[in-house]
Amino acid sequence: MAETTKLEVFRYDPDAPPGPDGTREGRFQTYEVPFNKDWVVLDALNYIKDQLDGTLSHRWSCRMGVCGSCGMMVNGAARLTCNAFLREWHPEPIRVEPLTNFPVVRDLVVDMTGFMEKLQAVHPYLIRKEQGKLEDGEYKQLPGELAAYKQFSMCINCLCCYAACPVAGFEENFIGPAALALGHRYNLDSRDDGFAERRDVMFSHDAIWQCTFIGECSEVCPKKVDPAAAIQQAKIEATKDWFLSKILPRAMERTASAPVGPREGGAS
Amino acid sequence: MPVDRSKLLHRKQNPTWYLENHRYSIFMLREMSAVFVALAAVATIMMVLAVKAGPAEWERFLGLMAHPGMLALSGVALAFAILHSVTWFLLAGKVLVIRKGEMKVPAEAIIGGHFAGWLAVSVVIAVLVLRVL
Amino acid sequence: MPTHDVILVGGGGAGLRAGIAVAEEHPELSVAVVSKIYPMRSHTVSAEGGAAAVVQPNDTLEDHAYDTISGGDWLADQDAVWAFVNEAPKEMIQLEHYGCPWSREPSGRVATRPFGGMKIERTWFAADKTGFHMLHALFQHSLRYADVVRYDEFFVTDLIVHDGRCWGVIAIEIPTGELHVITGKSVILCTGGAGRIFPFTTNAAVKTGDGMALAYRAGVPLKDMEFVQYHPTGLPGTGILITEASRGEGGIMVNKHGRRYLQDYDLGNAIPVDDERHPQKRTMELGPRDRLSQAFVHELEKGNTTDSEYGPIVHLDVRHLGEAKIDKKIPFVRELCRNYVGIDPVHELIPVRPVVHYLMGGVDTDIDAKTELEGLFAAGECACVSINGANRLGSNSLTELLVFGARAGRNAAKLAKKTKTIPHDELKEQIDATKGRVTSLRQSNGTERIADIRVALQKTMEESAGIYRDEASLQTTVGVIAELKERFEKVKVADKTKIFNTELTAALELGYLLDSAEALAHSALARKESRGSHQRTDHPQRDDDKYLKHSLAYKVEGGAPRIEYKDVVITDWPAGARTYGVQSGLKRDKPAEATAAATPAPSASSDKTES
Repeated sequence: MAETTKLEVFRYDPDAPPGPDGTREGRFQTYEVPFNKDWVVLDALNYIKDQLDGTLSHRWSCRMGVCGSCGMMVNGAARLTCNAFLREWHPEPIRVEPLTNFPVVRDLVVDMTGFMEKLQAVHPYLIRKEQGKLEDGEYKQLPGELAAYKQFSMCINCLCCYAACPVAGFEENFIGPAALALGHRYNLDSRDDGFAERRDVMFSHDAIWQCTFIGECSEVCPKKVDPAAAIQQAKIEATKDWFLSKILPRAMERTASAPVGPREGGAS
Repeated sequence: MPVDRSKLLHRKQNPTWYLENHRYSIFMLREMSAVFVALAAVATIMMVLAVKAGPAEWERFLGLMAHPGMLALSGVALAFAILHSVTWFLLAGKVLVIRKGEMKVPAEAIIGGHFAGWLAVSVVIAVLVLRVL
Repeated sequence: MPTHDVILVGGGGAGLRAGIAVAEEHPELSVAVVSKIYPMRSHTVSAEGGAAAVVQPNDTLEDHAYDTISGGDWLADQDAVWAFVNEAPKEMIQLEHYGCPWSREPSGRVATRPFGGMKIERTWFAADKTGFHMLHALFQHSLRYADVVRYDEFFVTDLIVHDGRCWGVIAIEIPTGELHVITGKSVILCTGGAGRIFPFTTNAAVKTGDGMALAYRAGVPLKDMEFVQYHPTGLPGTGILITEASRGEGGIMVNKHGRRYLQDYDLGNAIPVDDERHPQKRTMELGPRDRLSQAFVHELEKGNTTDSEYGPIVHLDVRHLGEAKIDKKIPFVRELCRNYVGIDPVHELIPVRPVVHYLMGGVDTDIDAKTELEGLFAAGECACVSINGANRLGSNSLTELLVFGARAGRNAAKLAKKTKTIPHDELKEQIDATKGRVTSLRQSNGTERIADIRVALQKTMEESAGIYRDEASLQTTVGVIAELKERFEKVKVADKTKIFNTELTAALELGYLLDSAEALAHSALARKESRGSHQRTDHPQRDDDKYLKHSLAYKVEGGAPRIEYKDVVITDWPAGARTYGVQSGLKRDKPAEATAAATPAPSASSDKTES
């Protein structure tokens, strides 16, 4: 037989009865797949699904690292399986597990309903004091103003950062790296006036202040979004905001560090 | 949507999770360091009290601090303080964003600047202290 | 039984735009987004290069319309194209107002780049992740509307049709395996294309023709299905797309002798890359995709391609752009090349070959996104309006999602408001039948493996319905498809469980692929001419007398589809010669009413006053 690679794949059957103490267990199942130097772990999983075992469940779609569906633990590290090559470990066996810090629905599929709620919580959209008219054309934005937030707009919601974050493991309600980075992205956007509206969620106990700057979220991010940087920057903004609220209570209407549009109040 | 949450599997965190990679380990060290930094603070308070209480107390305090156990403790506290400082300066590279248009001052430059500043201040202090002595 | 006013099947660019249109313009209506994946996973996310809309002061709507119509080899409906180019700038600005991070000029205005088959720079872009940014901007914007209710990971198995009208969908909730009936007053299909009919495609796994097959089964014809776009620059092996923007920014195509071979195929002259006129619009590397992919086949026949372990290739050369420009304008190209072929395009040539990218055809709709079936609408790649004719121009499809997504939303809302009640009691029979069918599929003891049928389908489609086609191979293929459909009756679903049973959904997707492929192959067989992306070696000429018409494939139970034709709407430009290269440009004899339609959009006129 041609060269092969072993995959130890996590399996979880939600229909299996829980143990006597009510706990549920997964197991590892080993599959042998042909080794191809150009194959990624996702190719191997699809091979298993198509040729060896149709009951294996995993999510995937674009297979080019942009849809964010196929994040899994590969030999203990959170990776996009469409961008994790067998050759990185071959001939050692490769252990594939669902992303940690998420409940498992089945096999390699995690429950992401909690994440979707957190994403929505940060109000990830442009909030304007005055809505522009289409006839007046686009909102102007200088290339430098675009560059200020562009990196934080690159998140594909693959959830690898949550799997890498121990805090996300301990604190179920932690808003988490991806959602906070996205909230910060809109706060940094020169077209946005939503800083005050996002304040209550972004600067709450369950948000940026839970982060202890371990930094692993940024290490595993396949798109180099650097959510850790976003959160630390947001901490500075939150601190400035707090001081400002003490010194100039009426200036709480302020927007992010690069405000746009007419300000209300006039605290001076 | 009515997902049956009772069927979800909640996998347990490995009790030695912080040994899995060095960033987790450093994080745990930083958390632990609080104890030693607190002890160093206590030592400082004791020092102030000793100065206030007069030369005899001061001599006794110096004797206490010269004890090998106390020396070891101080060494550990110093190491942790350095760890904190280094983490803090590394963090500056992420937190301080200095832009000119589309160009951004690289994190390395900002971090380097912080370390250079730290070194400079340390040298100045050392010179002052040594001259006084 | 949840019920809504408007139901969207699919949560990609077209679906989300439709949903937002309803939410913004009719906040009293409730919208359901029923999608088999989380909306931000939709394939819109993979689009790279950009979205076309007239904004430059030297550009006109008329130019955009002409480029689109000639690019489509005159098979596009010209009234639809006018609606498209007219509404495109407004839609793009709308998306900017939703937060899309379009790349910018130093002045702060939106930047544009040139694209294939387009006379002027009119492609808006967000580096080379335009689709990603558009989709996420739409999705994130949609989160502010409480009346847009998401049904994430709900796989639609059937349309509910009663008394000649569509009343909703039946869907499997994938995480539980439960079947749900979701009724509505209007339904919009926005499920994308069916590129997975072919083995070598840029398309994501989810693109299995679901909406096309759902409509086809409900008696709605599929239009112009024979037109399949091959993108000239896919990475060998994976089929991952290297964006046309790489050529828009100045990249060149070379054969194994290092010759810019496109000059040998009526695409103009090769001017040096350091000439400031390079890249010339509508010329050479900026010719239309069908012509570039056809040129590859001729190069292969002449022995001018290079052999690789994944078949013959040519090369795309972007080295002369330099690292700074590559990193700024096409960073994703660099990332993809490094990750998937292990080369750095700053220093090395990119191996490429044509790859199935887009289906021009789809669910037959009118200019208002309505189908023949009352209550059913379609938009995006799954629909065929048609603005793309026989060959879509690069960067028109992202804009199409917005323009016709919004139109579908508005018209679906209008119908929903007119509709008083849903006859729930009368729908029961069909709902029960569907539930029985899905349950029996899960419990069946079939013997035919899903992957075997799928691979056989993809093989026969590549052999017969590729860049060049002929009668004999297409005849073989329609026979093979009929056989595969019989085998599909005995398909094996080993997984009998309910929770996240992706084998069951794979089987259902295979059914959709087979139906879409059937319509495609029969339409290709019936069109005995060569036009745009449909090239018949046995009928190499375009035949306007017989085939300046849209094909319509109607499903016939248990037999070959019935192929009918309907006239192309021509308002301005009668079918003419398709010329690219130096002499190309506007050649037309325009009636007066079209001039009124060509009044520059607000953005274009304000651009003029500023520059």
